Amino acid sequence: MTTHSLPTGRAIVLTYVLVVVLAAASWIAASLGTGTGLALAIAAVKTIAIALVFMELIASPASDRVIAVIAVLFVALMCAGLLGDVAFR
Amino acid sequence: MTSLAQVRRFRVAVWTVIASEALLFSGLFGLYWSYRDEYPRAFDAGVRIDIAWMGGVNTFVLLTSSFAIAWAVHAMRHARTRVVARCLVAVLLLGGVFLALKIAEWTVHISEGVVPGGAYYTGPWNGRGSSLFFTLYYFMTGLHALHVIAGMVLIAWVALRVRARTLTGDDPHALELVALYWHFVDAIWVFLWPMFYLMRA
Repeated sequence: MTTHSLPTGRAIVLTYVLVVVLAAASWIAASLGTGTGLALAIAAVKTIAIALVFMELIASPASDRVIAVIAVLFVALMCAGLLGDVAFR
Repeated sequence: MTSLAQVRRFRVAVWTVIASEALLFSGLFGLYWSYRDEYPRAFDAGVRIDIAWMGGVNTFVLLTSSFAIAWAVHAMRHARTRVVARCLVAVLLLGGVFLALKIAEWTVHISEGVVPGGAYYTGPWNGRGSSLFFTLYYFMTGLHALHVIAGMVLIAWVALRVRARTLTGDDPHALELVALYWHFVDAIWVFLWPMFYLMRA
């Protein structure tokens, strides 16, 4: 773990600023009635930032990354099945 | 001192737990989207009934707690034990604020008759769609709150070890693993927030 290049203090602070700004943007956009897609897209970007920097996936060994990627793929597969069901009802 | 091989094993185990939990929540997200497609007006009304400012404040509270524990891990690696202790106390306080707001919101809903079971009352959109929305709301936010409580117990355990000096910068792995779990809890809320508080047609 510590043999990899870990996020610096600056990266941690910048990531925090980014997710807070995105959360504020999401709240403002919702109050303007921009619909569901933007709020979900912002949530996805926030999660990626948290996973890469706070959860240190960016510096993690391949074993950790494989588990994370497979979990995301399974979630995507389930979402695709669900969307297919909804679209063809 | 934990060996590198042990650390790797523990990290894989925690990531596996996180992956399993992600699949659990994604099943619930699937239910939400499926029913939202079937009852769009009732789900829209449900989002309007939820207390937006409480959901919003809780989002910033959890994001800040995530930053605080990431900073604790960073400080631990630089052997700044006092900073670590302060960050962990901040995380516990923020977790407490999150739970207090969640309980306050549930109390308001229950006092207005929006309760689990057959007695839901959600105004003009009262009906099966509203019942499904609030069943999912109580279940998903409740399950998430249980994860917050579990995370706080783990963080308190780590904080006690830091205070007893059995967890130091030479062996920070227990803190790193607990932080991983806490960030995951934060990431789940990042999706629950728009689903239950923001997404109005």
